[in-house]
Amino acid sequence: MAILNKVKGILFGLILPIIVYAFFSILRPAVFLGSGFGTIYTVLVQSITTCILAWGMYYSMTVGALDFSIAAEMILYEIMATIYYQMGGFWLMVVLTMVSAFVVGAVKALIKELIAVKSMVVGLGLTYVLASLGEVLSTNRSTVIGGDATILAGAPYNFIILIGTGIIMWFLLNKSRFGAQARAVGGNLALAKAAGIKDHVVGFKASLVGSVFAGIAAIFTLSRGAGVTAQTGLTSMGSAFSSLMCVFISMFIGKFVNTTAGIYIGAVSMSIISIGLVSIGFDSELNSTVTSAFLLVLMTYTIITGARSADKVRREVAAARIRKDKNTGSNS
Amino acid sequence: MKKLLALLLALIMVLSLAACGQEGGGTQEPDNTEDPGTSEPDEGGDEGGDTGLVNFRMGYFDTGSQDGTSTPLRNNLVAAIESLGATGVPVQPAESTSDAYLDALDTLLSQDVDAVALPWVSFMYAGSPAAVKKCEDAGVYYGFYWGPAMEDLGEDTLSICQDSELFLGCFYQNETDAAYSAMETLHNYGCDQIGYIGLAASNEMQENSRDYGCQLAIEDFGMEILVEQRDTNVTLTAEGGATTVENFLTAYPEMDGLIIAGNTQFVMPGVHQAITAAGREDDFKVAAIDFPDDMATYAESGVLVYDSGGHVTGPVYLTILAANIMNGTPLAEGGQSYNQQYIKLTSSEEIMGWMEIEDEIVYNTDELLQCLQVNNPDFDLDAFVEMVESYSYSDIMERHHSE
Repeated sequence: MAILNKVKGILFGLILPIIVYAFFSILRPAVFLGSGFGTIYTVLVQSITTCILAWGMYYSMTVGALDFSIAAEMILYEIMATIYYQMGGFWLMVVLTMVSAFVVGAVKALIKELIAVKSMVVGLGLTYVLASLGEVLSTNRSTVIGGDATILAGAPYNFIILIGTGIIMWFLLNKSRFGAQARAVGGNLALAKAAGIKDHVVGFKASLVGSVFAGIAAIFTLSRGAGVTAQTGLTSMGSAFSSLMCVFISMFIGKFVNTTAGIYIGAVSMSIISIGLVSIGFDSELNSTVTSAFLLVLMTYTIITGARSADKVRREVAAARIRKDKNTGSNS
Repeated sequence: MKKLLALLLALIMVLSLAACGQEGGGTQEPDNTEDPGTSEPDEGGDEGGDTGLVNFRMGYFDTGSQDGTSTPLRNNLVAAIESLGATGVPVQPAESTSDAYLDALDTLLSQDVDAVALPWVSFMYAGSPAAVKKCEDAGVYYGFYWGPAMEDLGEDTLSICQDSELFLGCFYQNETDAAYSAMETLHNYGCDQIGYIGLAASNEMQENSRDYGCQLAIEDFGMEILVEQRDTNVTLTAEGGATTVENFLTAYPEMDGLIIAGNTQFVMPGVHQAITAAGREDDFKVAAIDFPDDMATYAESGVLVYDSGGHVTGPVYLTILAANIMNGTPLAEGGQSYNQQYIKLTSSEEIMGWMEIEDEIVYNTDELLQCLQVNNPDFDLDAFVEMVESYSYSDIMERHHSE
């Protein structure tokens, strides 16, 4: 029965991308139905970066801090990766980028926890700092990599990275003590503290895990684009916004699938929309508007259905009380 | 403790921004120059050591060394400033908005600069009038590069600068011609079903001119633009370039060419990566405006067949105009339009040839010193215009590699 419920849940979760795919299939059947596996493969590949970054973002969100600086962090690691590549090739690039992500991520997490203000402003400040560091590091330096270092962008390595990172995400979130503590801190800080959970340690770990995920996303993104350009100021936030939308989509379908799968389904849905809009010749400058509108619709639906459910529970409780009162009255 | 750490974070942020602003040694002392001429110091200028040239402070916007256009622009400008006995004063805007550039201009003007080079494209129609007014109020010489011809500056800007003694001029590129040539080259390679990566609609001047050039080519050669990508959330990253090409090829398999009419330096690595990953190097060609990094790789694989760029000399020309004024020999009475040339490379082979000289300083110290009337009385406005308009790949080869 439990397995049947799980299968039902997964099918419900998949409804969203299926509906989006079906919608664009009606508009451009030649692209979405007539190209074999080509379009689906493109969708799956394009969703990887957004998904990994969204997984990274989710940890900070779990402990109650929305951190947009993760995109600037990813770009910084990409720039570092190009330097490491020029120093010693592909393997040095991979190893040192992950080490850098760990070290920079630890410093960033420490700063965040020392400031201890759960505000987006801290994230914006860190975005500026990380963007400036990227700018300084890329000055007078080529930030492209050779074709030999782009192997991870191709199959099967791209899907191995996705699945491997997904398993880590799922394990940390659902099977580790850290995941449970993060949910506890994000759900009710006072209660978590009363239960002996050290919220600063959990916050530090959450930020650090996000940084490591940003490092993985950086290596994969650099492999896909074969180059990177430093982005000054808050320009990088556009990338973080796409990932944020995936997290919201996962909340929308959270009743049916777990968060790890929900975020991936969100990323896939976003990729389908991206290709769909291109295929119907939609004005590209309005793409962000459409995807934002899509998010708003989902959020509105989630809020309305949530409010209706709560209302239904309230009415049922009220009806039960009335029945109880009546019974008590008739008995007396 | 929290307040202290918040202040520390803010300090780190400011210092890192300042570090970017100082990169490139803009505040270093000017080098001595050869063959000094004789002149009287102008207002606001000092004798430049033993060179005899007037030392003045040239303000400019340092957009870092993040791509294949901003790097040579800064390197050439810094070299010109040093050669002409001036002191460079750089400033780095916090972000790429006209408000941020206006704030940065305030910073420059507070540094007692005598002249300033303004990238019009960063101020646009909305910010240009305010920028011009700030320079006028501060009594600082100013001029535009990366902009339109004077008559297209916008009514508000034009009304302030057209009669001003402080206005040095406007260095514009022929965007229509650059886009037309790009499309023509694609057509010559047999590519007529085209995808388009371009600037956002808010970038009115460049977008309109380049679009017009494409439109003319479409009419002349019977080409077709199948789909466009102008979303800056996508076109500011290499991965965005890869995603765009993947989407284009998925939705329009018949597409055989791509014109990149903006943000080339950002998207090109990803564009190339996606084309090679799809195995379309032989039957899919790219024409671009602006030079990206690593252009040789893209040309070598046969993907990149046209690129116009190298439009990095505008601030150098403004420095020459300012230096002549500061040395008491102005070349022109008031500002005017100058056609700053693109370097147009129309084959993979030509692109490879350009890559061998791309890091060269376009005008060396000897050439720049001959652009000062105090050194070379024959150098007048006509000679200056001829110098500006003859700028090209062959011009550089002729001047520096004629043997």
